[in-house]
Amino acid sequence: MNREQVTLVREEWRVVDRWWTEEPVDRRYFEVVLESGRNVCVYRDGEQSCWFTQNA
Amino acid sequence: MKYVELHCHSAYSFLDGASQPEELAARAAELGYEALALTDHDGVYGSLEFAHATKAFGVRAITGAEVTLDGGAHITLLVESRRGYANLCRLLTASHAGTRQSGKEDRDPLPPSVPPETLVELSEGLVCLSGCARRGLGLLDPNAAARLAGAFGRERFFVELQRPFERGDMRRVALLRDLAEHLGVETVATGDIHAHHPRRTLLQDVLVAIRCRTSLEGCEPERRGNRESFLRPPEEMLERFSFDRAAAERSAIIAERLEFDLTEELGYRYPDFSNESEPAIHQLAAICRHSLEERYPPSNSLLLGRARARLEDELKLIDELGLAGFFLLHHEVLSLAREAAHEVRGLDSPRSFLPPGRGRGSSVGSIVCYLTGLSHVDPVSNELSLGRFLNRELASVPDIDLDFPRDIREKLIVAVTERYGREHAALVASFSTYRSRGAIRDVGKALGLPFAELERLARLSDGWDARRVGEEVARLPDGARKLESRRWRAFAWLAGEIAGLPRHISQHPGGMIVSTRPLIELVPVQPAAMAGRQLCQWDKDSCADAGFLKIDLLGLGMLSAVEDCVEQIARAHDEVIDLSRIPFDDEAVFEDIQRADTVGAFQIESRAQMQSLLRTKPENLDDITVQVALVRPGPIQGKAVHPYIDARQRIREDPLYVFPVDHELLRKPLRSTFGVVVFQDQVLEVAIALAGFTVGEAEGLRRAMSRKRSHDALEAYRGRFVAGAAEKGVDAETADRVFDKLAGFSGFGFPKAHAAAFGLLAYQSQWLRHYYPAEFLCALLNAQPMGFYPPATLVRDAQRHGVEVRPADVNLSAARCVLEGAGVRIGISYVTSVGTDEAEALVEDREANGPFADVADLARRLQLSHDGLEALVKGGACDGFDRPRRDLLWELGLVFRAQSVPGTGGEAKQLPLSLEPTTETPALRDLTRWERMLADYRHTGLSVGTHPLALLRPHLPAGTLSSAELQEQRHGRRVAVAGMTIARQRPSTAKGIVFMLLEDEHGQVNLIVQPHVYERHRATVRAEPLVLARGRYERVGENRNVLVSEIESLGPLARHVADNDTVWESLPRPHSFGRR
Repeated sequence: MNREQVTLVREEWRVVDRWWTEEPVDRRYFEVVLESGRNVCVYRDGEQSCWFTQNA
Repeated sequence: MKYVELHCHSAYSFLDGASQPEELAARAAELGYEALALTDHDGVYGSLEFAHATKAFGVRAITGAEVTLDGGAHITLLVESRRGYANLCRLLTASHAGTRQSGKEDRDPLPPSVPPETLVELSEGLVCLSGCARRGLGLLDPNAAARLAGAFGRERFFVELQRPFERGDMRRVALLRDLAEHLGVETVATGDIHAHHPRRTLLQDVLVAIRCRTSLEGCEPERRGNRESFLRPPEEMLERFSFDRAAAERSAIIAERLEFDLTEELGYRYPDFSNESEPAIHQLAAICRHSLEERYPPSNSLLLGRARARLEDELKLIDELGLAGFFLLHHEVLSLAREAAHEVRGLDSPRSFLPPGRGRGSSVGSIVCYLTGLSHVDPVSNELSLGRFLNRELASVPDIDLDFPRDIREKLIVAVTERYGREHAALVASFSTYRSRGAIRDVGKALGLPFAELERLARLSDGWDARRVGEEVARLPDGARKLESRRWRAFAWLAGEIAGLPRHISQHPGGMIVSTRPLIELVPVQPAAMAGRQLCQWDKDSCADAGFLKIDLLGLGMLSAVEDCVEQIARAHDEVIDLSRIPFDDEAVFEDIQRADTVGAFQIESRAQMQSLLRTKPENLDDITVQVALVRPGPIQGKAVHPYIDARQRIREDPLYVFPVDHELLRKPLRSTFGVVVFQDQVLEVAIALAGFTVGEAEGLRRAMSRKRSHDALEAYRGRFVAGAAEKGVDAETADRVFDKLAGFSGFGFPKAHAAAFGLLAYQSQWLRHYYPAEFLCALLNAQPMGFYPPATLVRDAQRHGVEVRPADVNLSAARCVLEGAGVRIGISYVTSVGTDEAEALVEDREANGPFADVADLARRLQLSHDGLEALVKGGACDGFDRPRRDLLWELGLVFRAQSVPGTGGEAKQLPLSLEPTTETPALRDLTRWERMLADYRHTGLSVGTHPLALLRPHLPAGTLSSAELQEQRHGRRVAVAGMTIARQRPSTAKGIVFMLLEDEHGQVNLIVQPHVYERHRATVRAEPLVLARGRYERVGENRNVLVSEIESLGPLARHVADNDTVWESLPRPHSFGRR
């Protein structure tokens, strides 16, 4: 991630919500530890088919 | 090693499970599960259904429940043995025991919960898992989990691991694994399933919103927030728990131990009097023989001889079937009913002449039932057959249905519970399931759709099937635009998905289970929403599957009405009527029946019955017995109605007319109904006479017809029927034709015995209506809801028969409707927002402290809510103060009333200062006639004054005929009629035709709306209270109908003329029947 290796996936969870609205949410979250030791939260957005980072 | 799901919720977790037990069973089989546990919240409501369904699909059912402990933590209990099942039932009974507060039984129940100590006491035979990811005991109270682990031991206590893919899963799993290690027990993986298929997870979200009484947006914390809680293939679950595969595999190891099979014998026995010194059959014979001497006088030796022979035959059969205890049990229940009746009626009541209840159904054909008081119809003189009720090939205990007036039934249910003990008797449950209106309102609210639009759609939808809500949305004028939005599309689809799912538990209309072994070890029992009552967690199907004997104690509105009427007559005329001794050949009563002047009479009042009466013209009780059974789906689909009416008309003209039959062998069994099958018993008789069936085979055929109308099962009988008929010389074509008619009849008909019981009550009610119309109306109004017509229509009909009906009045009315001179005074409880208790309190206050002087006096003296007081004024109950209603409302607004002191539960009151208003009441415009009439309808459900059509008539298009003018028209003429819709029917037997009944100020008009007209005017036909119909006037014999070609709403005209927007909401809803 950002040219750093992921050394550990600490947690994985999913959010599939707001399916009844015009802006449904379909995300697959990962809380990972990078090789630098930094904790990062990333998710794959199923609606937009791309990855995002989020403050952990 | 495979995975077995040990934690799974069905829809019987009530708003926390989105799939039926059968759906879970079928899906489990499809995914390759060898076993599956059902663990609904605090109950086993769907467990037996699930056990039978899984068996059919080759999956082994594990019985269990997710149980809530005191404090709110959950544990999962799974049944290992029969002792374990009994303990689970006792535990669940205990957990529900405190859910209804004394005196507040009708309020929402408190959440069930059980003390951990009780769980420890009843732990034998159960396996305990530490609970779910959100509220599991292992997380909420690890110390309590440790105590349970100690009590259950490491063989039967496991820490439950779940992986719902929520944030924090891994931390939670780590904590739980630590706990297991610390306690020295093992872990097991479970899925906490809430849906059988991924698509149902959306519905699960909606159910959570409905449970939380909010929208989907409003319950985000309670929802799971992803779509993970569905049943996955076992391999996928093993993969999901790859971090602790042993925990996942342990689910299968535990499942192997959980061998208890709920479909096997539970050890149920009903109290069968076998422990007494004398055999049950001797006790029964003694009761019957004693009664026989009283009921059959020696003067009629022929009848007495027949009765004696019949009794001995029946007793022999009962002895062979081992059913003497069954009859003694019912006899004992009837003794309890007599005591309840004495208590309710009082010993010197005119009602004391009446029996406490009466039998219905095929049991009326039994002389033992007649002699033990379980039936009131003499089967010997009425030639009623026993075969349908009792025969040597009987596969299960027969049904005895008993009807009681509602007040006696209420006492009786409590008396039965007390007689056999609260651990041994309970009511059968019934599950309220989602139909179209409930689905529209609940799903729509969860999705945040506009309330007014949902209400409009709900009112358009009369039907039962929520799966068609999507079609209805599409048919709305703006349906296409609505369906462009995701919310409306989700609504249309989810209303179909929720169709048929149980929403909550309620009481069966009257089924009770009594058990020798404690019932609470066979099925959990919980308090009902009425004081003193309790119900078991199974519905009638599950109770039948478990082999429980169900005693049906049914409440029949007409019996209540008849009893009330007898009492009103005694009070008004000092005349005691014994309805068993009235003349049953009264010409005047039969003239009314032949004219179809039967509004309010039992069973013969409906629009379809009226049309039939005009043609069949019943002349005696036997004819009414046929009449009651004739207008039913069975005879209609069996093509019996028109041939019967035709034969009857011909025989009236020519008594020597020989009615046609399909085969001469049928002439005798079908003699009383002129060659067609009208009664259920005739299905048996035809099969016996034409195809040589035994009684048992014929009953099997009847059951195959009535049970879900299985085509295959029926066709299996066809071969046997045609072959049997051939042996008797009947050609295959005739046999096939007769079989088709029997198949058409199916189970939707009455046995003759039942029709005779109902026919008698129909005549008695019509007799009361003819000779005591005011008392009869009064009694009908007090027994609502019942019958075909709304109260407003009953009032109009009585007025047309010269009965004066006076409005509710706070200084003149009683709580219920009463006679006032020759007229009827509407009761205070008819005013909306005023409950029966409040109406009684008003009357008590008035009797104790004198009449109310004005609205201020009324408001100060009563505890009634402001809404209730306003409804009294708006509904006309304060018109006696001789002030316009608007002035009264103004004055009501100025009244200072005593307020409850907060925190005292209403016991302490802060008294108001006695301040007079500082200004005069302004000059307010009085209500118009329209406004007064609409307010009457809106706030009392009826109006005794002007009919809306009388007000509307001057504004109707020229040429619009009244119901009186219509009678003068010739057949075939084009006509236009206007009226208020009072009934609308779309019977499934009528090929899409809608029958409407309109009422105007002079009477009623029948409309026939054919499918192509209905399709053009669906919204008007289904929802408009005021309509103008154009079409062809049809006079066939004495029947009068308008065959509608165009129909339009009179709503806009009424709103314009009345200058009022509340026309639609104010007028009473018509009674709607049949499919949409």
